[in-house]
Amino acid sequence: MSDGPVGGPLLATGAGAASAIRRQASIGLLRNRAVGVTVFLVLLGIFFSGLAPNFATIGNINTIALNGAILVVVACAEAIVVITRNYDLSVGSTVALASYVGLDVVRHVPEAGPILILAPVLIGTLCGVFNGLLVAYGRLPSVVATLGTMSIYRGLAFLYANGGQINASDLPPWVARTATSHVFGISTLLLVACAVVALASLMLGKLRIGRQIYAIGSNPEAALFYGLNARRVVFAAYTMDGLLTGLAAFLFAARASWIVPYLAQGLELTALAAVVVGGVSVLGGSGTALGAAVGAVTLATLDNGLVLVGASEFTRELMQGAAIVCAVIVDAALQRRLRRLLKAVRDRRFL
Amino acid sequence: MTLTTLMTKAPVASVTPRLSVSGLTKSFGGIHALRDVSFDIAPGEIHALLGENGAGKSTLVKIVSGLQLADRGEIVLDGERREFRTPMEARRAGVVAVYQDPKLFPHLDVAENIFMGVQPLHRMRTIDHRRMYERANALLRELEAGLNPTTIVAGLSIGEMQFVEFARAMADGVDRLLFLDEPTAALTPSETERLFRVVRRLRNRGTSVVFISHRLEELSGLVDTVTVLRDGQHVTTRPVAELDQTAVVRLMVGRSLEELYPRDSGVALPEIETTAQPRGVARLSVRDLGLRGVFERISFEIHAGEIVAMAGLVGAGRSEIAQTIFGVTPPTTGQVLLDGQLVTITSPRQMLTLGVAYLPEDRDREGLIPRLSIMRNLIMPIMGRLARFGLVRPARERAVSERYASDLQIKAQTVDQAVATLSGGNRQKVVLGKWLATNPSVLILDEPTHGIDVGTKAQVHAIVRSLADRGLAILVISSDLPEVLRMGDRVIVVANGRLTATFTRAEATQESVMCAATRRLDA
Repeated sequence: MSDGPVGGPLLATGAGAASAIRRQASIGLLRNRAVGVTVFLVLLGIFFSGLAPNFATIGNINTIALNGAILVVVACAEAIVVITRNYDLSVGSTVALASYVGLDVVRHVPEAGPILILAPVLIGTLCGVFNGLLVAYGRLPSVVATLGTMSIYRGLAFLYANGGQINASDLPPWVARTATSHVFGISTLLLVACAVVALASLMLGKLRIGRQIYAIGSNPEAALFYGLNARRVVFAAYTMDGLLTGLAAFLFAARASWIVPYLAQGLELTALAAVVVGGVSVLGGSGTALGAAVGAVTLATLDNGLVLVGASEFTRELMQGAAIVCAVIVDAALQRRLRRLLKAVRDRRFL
Repeated sequence: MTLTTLMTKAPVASVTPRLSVSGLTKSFGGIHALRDVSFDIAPGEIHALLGENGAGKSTLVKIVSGLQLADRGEIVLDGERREFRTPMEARRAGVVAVYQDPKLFPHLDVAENIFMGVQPLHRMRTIDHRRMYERANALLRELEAGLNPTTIVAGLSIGEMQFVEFARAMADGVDRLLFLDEPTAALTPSETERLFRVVRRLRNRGTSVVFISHRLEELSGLVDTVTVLRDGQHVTTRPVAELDQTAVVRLMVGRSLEELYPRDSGVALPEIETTAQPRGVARLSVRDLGLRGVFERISFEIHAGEIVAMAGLVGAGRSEIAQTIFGVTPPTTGQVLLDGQLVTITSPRQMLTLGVAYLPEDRDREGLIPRLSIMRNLIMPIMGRLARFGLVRPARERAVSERYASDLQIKAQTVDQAVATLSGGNRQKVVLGKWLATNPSVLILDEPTHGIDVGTKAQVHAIVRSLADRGLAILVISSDLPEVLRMGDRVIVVANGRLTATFTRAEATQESVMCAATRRLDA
């Protein structure tokens, strides 16, 4: 039985060739979603430059960078979890708990010095570990589990604070300097954000655990057949998420004039928005830390530009929501395309 | 028990078997999937594991390859008692299974899929991408897969995905035992040949390869030994030379081959309202149908009571033609007539009301909702009709679905059982029942017996035949050549989106249909 005239799967008819090109194009899009966001960011920049004369100034770009830097860290944290096909809705509360309790430690032992950055980081990590236990080992749906811990962590922060607040003046000067100092003329905050993006990219792209994070988000059933330890990977993802969120909590505290338990309310949604706008699929399996970072900068730029053109806070909120919806529409369209691809090329059997 | 088994066995075997299972038993909720199964697989042999769906082949493979644990019994690998708790443990011991439907990561590329979890590392524990892609390339070349390691898996065909799975098995250094679960079902002949070459090379290196199959044809020339399972029990293990196809089928089903494909059978069917048509009137008439860039100039007729089989290479456009007639992708040119009436095709909903039903090939994705019960699936298209004043009537729904379940011989305890728990053949019967409930006059079946066992296949054939006898016009798309010849009153052949031949039952032979399917029409 020869299939000479049929040829291999590569020998396509005219129609087949066209669909093959379309297929590769949409796969390319799937691969480089961050490129689209970056283009959008540039267009947004041009748009606001035309509308607000003080938008494209060094000073303002610096402001955007500083405002965006912390969100970049949180977005990277969130992205790691979202790629595994899970969510973390507790990042805002984690920031509140970690910054309040962590900086309270700093306030009480000021002589220990900058090593105490580890205090909020450790608390953030513990929050992540608990989330990870619930989702990976307790097998709770991540939305429900982290919705619960969102309230738990916030509640703990309020209980601990007991109506109090931590003023920036109570803290040793090195805390605030983290936000205001520069290294080689570049803001430390910005450098930290860049370092986080680099490390998260390295982890996701170059370490086995990182690739397994993608694998589990891409097809959990296949992960089982591959013998990957899905629980361990999801747990690790939440732990890293918590660690980075703890770091973000410290940065929040460093920029804030006072720390209160209702700090960073709604941050979980902004973080998710940044991740989605940055091209991380809400259905898992694709996206990058760099994309999430670009998404965070895009949201910061949008917010900043709208302030400069005099939009109200409500308009800004509305625009942020619109950006999320648009990003999810693009995501859904791409995922549909992916599913159709999988179906269309299911098989090319012979008689 | 372990000791005595080992002691009595050791002196008997002259060569230590690669795999020796004994007393393997596994049940799911009171139903035995495997019952006291014992047999050996020799080192460096190609072993066929045959049986109908539900015979226990897959369960056996899952137990040996670490996906499930046996309730009882033992697995001895090269004389050493083993129990794999995870597929990873089995892989480390050189035992790998490649499953029928590829389990891969669609978002990731070929090389990443091959090496997931076992990527080559730098000294710093980071992944050595250069080495990974080089090794992937080498593996794919060895398999003659013609795949680029950087291609995203989402764009591959099922056949190509299977080669990724084979490459994955090789990357793990499968050196003892490789299970291939119905590998050829989705492969082209050239892919099958390449696979067989690789399998022979593996055997020559001393690896034992186990083929799980119910396509009996592929036994010849490749396999050394045959094991047959039936209803979870071991029937026989024999050298292939001692068996022929008829004998194997008889062992698998306890029936002879002739009985498998009866023209008439006593399968009872639900009453189907048919407006009696004289045999000469074309129920469905397709004239110069075309869909830009996909197929063109397709013309054929199906009369009441007739089964037309559509043959062709996969990718020739057969499913696309069917889906166009059903309204999924309305045609760009040509006409469709139902009972002589010209129809402007707009949507599947419209075609359903006009009495055209289409059973898609991918029954889980397009035909059924696996998590819902048999009843819910059966009555889905007719829920409106069963309701009174817009309210559902549970008793009526139950009665109707129970009738279909028993008429179509769906093997299940109750109609409340989730479709996901049924075997492939029984799922196909549910799909069939679901569309029969709509009282169609034209029925299009896309690969109705793909992936189901011979026994159920025969039942489906009989059901389809008796539907035709009741006056339905039936179009069967099939990639199974014997099935095409057996079922079709006429056979039409599609190649590259064009109709290349029409045969009467008498004219159609394997050779003539095959010739037409590989023909290329110019302009």
